[in-house]
Amino acid sequence: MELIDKISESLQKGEQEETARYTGEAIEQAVPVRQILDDGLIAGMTVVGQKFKNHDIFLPDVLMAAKAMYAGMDLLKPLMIKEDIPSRGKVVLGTVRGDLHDIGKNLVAIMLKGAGYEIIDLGNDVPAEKFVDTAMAEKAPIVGLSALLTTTMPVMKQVVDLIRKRGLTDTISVIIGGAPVSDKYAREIGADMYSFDGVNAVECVEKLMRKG
Amino acid sequence: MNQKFNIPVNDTLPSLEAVLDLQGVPSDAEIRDPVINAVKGALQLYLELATPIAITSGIRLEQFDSIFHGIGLNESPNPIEKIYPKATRLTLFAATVGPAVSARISRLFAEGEFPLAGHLDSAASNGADQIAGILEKMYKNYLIRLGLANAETVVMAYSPGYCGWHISAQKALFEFLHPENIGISLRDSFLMEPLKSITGVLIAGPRSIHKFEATYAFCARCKAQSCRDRMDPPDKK
Repeated sequence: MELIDKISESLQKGEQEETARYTGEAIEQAVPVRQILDDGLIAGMTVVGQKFKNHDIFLPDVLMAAKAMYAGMDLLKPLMIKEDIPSRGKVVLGTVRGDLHDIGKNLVAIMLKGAGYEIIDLGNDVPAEKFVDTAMAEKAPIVGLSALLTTTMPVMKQVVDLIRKRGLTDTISVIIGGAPVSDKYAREIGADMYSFDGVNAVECVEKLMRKG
Repeated sequence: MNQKFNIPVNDTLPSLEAVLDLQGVPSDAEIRDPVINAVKGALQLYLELATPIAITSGIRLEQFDSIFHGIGLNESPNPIEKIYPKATRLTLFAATVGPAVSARISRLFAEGEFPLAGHLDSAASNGADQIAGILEKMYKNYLIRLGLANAETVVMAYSPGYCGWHISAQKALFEFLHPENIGISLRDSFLMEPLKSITGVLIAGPRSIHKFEATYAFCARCKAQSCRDRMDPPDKK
C-alpha cells in the first residue's frame, strides 16, 4: 500500500501512533506536504465523516480518528508554516451566551480542522458582539453558532441582526447548530445555513466558502 | 434551612453503556476494544476527579412562585407552572460533580485528547443527572420519615433552561439557595461554574401532577425528552 494510503487508513482506524509514524516517513521521503495533508490526513478524515454521516461509525470512533489526525498534523504544522501553506479559510466558532454545552461545538471544530480550515474557537457563553468583532478582526467569512438550550437560541438572532446592522451581510455568513435548532429556525432568523452535525458543518462551510 | 450533602462518587458513576448512549451509540452497535478501553479510562478518571456535592432548602409555594417567574421570560404556557401549585412539598437544590472534572475536560480537549475528553464530558453529564436522581430519592425518603409523603408520592426534579423555565431564573434561585456555599457560582449570563452543575426544584406530589403532554411549542425543539421516561411508572420502564 502507498504511504499516503497508509496514513489515511490508519487515521480512519483511529491509530494515532501509526498515523504519526507514516506521516513521519512520508516527510522523510520528501513527499510534498500538500499531498500528505490533502490525500492522507484530510482524505482519511473525509472518509470518517462520511461513515459517521451514514451511521456506519459513531462519535467515539470519530474522536479517535481526530486524535490520530492531529498526531499527523502536529508533524506537518512546522512544514506548513515554513512553506506558507494557507488554510482553506477561517471560521469563528462558539457556544452562544448563556449556553455551555460545547461538546457538539468541539466536534464541529475537530471536523473543520480535519478538513483544513482554521478555527478561532471562542469557547462557550459568548456574547453576540464578540462573534462579530472577532470575525471582523480575523477577516473570517464564516461564524458558527452553537446552542443546546431553547432559551439561549435568541442570541443567534442577535448575531445575525448585528451583522446586518453593521452592513456585513456580504462579508460574514452565519451557520447555526445545536439540538433545539432547526433549518426552519435558521430561515426565521436569517442565518445562512443550519448544520445538524460536525460532518454536515464541513459541507455547509464548503458551500459558503465556494459562494464567497 | 440549607442542608449540604457529600454524595459518594461511586453512587454517581455512569455505566459504560450510559456514556456511549449519550454519544448516540446504538445499544446494539459493535464496540471496538480501543473504544471500550477509552471509555473505561474516562470512567476511572471520573472516579479520581469527581467530588459530588449538593445543597437543598425547603421553600414555600409563594416563595417559589417568585423564583419561578423570575424576570418574566418563561415560555407561556409551560408545564411547570401547572405542576408546582399542586405540589405537597417543594425544595430547591443545587449540585455539582466538582471543578476538577470540568477543568480536566477543557484541558484534554485543548491537548487534543479527544476520546478521553469526550468520554469524560459524557460521564460527567451523566454523573450530574444521577445526582438529581439521588436527591429525588433522598427527598422522598425524608418526607416519608416526617409523615409528609408515602410510597405513592413522586418526587421529580425540574431545572431552569428546560420545559419553558427560562435560565434567568437562576439568579433568584441563587439568591435564595446560595449554592456558592458548595462552590457553585453564577455568571452574568446565568451559566454556572463548574460546568457540570445542576440546579432546580424538587417537586413532591402524586404522580398525576407530574404528567403532561409534551406538545408545547418548545417540546418540538427538545432533544432531551427526559420527561417521557420520568413520567412513566417504574414498573413500565
